[in-house]
Order: sequence, then structure tokens, then C-alpha cells
Amino acid sequence: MRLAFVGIQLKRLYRLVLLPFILTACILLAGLLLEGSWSPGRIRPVMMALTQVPVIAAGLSTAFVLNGDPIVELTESTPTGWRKVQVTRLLIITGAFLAAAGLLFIGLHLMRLWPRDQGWVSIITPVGSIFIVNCLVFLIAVLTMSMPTSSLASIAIWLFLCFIWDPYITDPVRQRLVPMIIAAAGAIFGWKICSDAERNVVKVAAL
Amino acid sequence: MRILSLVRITLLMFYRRKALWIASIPLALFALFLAYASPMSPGFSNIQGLVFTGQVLAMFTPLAYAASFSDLMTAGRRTGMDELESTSPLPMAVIRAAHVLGAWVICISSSLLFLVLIAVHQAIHGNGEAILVALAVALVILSPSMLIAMGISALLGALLPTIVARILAVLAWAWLAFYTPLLPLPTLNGGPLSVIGDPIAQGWFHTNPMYVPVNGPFTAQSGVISLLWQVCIIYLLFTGANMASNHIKVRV
Repeated sequence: MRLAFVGIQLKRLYRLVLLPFILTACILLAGLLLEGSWSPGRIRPVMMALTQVPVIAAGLSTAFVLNGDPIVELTESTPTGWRKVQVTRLLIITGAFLAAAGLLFIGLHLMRLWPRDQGWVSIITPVGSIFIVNCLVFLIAVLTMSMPTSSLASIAIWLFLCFIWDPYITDPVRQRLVPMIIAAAGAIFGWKICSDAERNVVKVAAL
Repeated sequence: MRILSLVRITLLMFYRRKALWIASIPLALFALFLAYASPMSPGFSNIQGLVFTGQVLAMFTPLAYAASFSDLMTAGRRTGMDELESTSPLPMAVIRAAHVLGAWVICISSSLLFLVLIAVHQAIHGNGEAILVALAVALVILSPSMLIAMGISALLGALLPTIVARILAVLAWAWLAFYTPLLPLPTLNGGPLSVIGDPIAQGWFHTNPMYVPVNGPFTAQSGVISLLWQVCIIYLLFTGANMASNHIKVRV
């Protein structure tokens, strides 16, 4: 029963689930091609830019899957409920992006191309960013039910992480752990709000 | 009169999208922090600081606006609103222009608010022309950059599936706004075709540009060329988006 439900959502989102793996493959291919011909000093800034692309894509994809569904009211009238649908979509898309980010890190780590690599602990950098962005986008999607606002917020969160937080907090664990706890708290808060069936229906009807 | 009431209605429609306004405020605050913390920053206490802040806002905030306006020209199509609009006596181009105007007001207002606050602070400390400079910066540096980002978003949104359009629009703006000689990419920055206001900032406000100009410092003329060039791009982007959105069917 549960599996079939996940299967239906997966069928709806399978193109988006493929997206992170395509991105990972493209970045790894770029790394392979550049590794032979360029010096590590030249590849590093390229990889620093390219490894941000999955984070941007994760936030925007989450904003896309969590908004714009016109049949909230119908879902709320079934025993499934809207929250279960939302959380399943969030978990599918986050799982796909986390897995692809893990693969990306492993590939680049083995090629010694990951920027600011401090050993295997650095896997927390891409995985943590995607977790933080997706959790907070879930909260904002629940609060606003608006795709433009969620997309705008996802880029704002990424901007904060990439340009304001990361340059100042450099220890990889502290860099990710603190915002991850805040993001998880935000997601739990969103999960609580999302249980309000009346609010969901009224909110989508007002759009 | 019809156009004036259209503008009024459009502003009212966009005023109701409060979530978008609220989300814009932290975005502008992040950019302000970047302007403050940048090693190039001249501080907030003079005209240079005001123009620099305007340029940082013009580089960073459009990243988010490029992501969020991909349905600017196509939203009406999903609800059938465009069919209703086409029965109105105004040309479709005017109606679509009004939509752009409404979105522009949302984009600019949070940044404009902070620029004016800085200018008021300067005015209290004896720099009377700061408020005029803040308004001018918002109009000639900030607005073109934001409109270009929105235009890229609207055009790609009308041509491509939503999610691809959003990601590509962000990457396109990142390419337009940021440049480092470490990456082997061609760039518009450093020339008069830059879209982040360097020629205007140096040519008209005599400040240091973000990227060192390739062919000597920018003059007042390069500022004029830059502004005309940006107006052309904006016009082409929105015309293209308008045309593309007339051809598509419902796309979810």
C-alpha cells in the first residue's frame, strides 16, 4: 500500500529524479576531461562553481514539486491527506538529490578535485547544503503555496549559505551542523502546519 | 485613462502577492551584508558607498528574480486569463507590459527601501543630494539589471519546461554578473556591454567599477551606450517572451 503510493508519486516525478544524476554525470565528465589537461589550480575554481549547480537545482526542483498542484482539495478529501503527498514528494526529490550529491562527492574526491577537500568528512558540505535548502523550501512552500515565492526563497537561502555563511564558518562540521539543525526544526514546523486540512484548501483556493 | 487604470489594477494585483514581498526583504538584506562586508566596499557614508551598494544589489538579487519569474508571461495561459484579456480594448502588448511593471515594482521595492534608508542616513549627516542619487541608482543601475534577469526568466519560461527554465535562468544571470579570470569563459564584464551597471557607475557617478575596464576607464558616453544597450536587451527579451508565450499551449 505504502509502496504503491510512493510508486505513483515517483511516476509523476521521474524526470526530476533523473535530473540530479544527469547533473552529477555531467560534472564528473567535466572533471575527467579537465583532469588530464589542466593543472589542479585551474580546475579548482571551475569545480567550485560547478559543485554549486546541484544545490541550486535541488532548491528549485523542490519548490517546483511542492507547489502548483491544483487538486489539494481532492487529496484532502481522501484518507491519504495532503501532508502525506507533500512529504512523500519532498522525500523523493531530496533523496534523489542527496544520493546524486553523495556520488558527486565520491567521484570528485577520488579524482582529488573536490574544492576544499578535508577527507571523507567533507561529504557533509554538498549533502548538508541540499538538506538545508530542501527543508527550508518545504517550510516556505507550506506557508505560501506559491512557486515564485518558494523559488525566490530557495535562491535566497543558497545565496546566504554560499556567500555569507560558508566563507566565514570554515570548519566543515560546524559549517553544516548548525544550519542543518535549524533547517530540520523549520521542516518539523512546516510538517505541523501542513496537517491543517482547512488551511491547505483555503490557501490553494485563494491563489 | 484606460492605461492608467490598468496600471492601478496591476499594482493592486501585485500588492496582494505579499509572500513575494516578504521573501524579497531578506534577499535584499543578504545583498546589503555582502556590500558591507566586501573588501572593496567604500562604506555606507558617502555617494561611492551608495552606488557600490546599488551595484551589489544589482548583481546578487537578480539571481533570485531570475528563478522566480519564469511564469511571468505564461501564467495567464494556465487559468485562461489571457483569453479574457484578449477581449479587452487594449492591445495585448500593453497588458503584458503592465504585468512586467507590476513584477518590477515587487523586485525593486525592497532594494529601493534600503537604498533610500542609507540615503536618508547620509542626508541627516549633511549629504543632501544622497536621496536623489539613491533614486537615480535604483532607476539606471538596479532596474535594468533586474528587468534583464526577469526578461531572461520570462523568455526561458515561455520556451522551456518550468524547472529547466528556472535553473538555466539563474545560471545565465550568474554568467552575466560574475566573472573571474580563473574561469575560461567569455564575459561582457569589463566592456561597455556589461549589464551590472559598471559603465554607468563609473561614467556618471565617478565610482570604481566592480570589474576593471579593459579599454581604459568608462566615460559618460559609455554610460549612455550601456543604458541604451540594456534597454534594447530588455525590449528584445520581453518581446521574445511575449511572442513565445502566444505560441505555447498549456504547460504545467
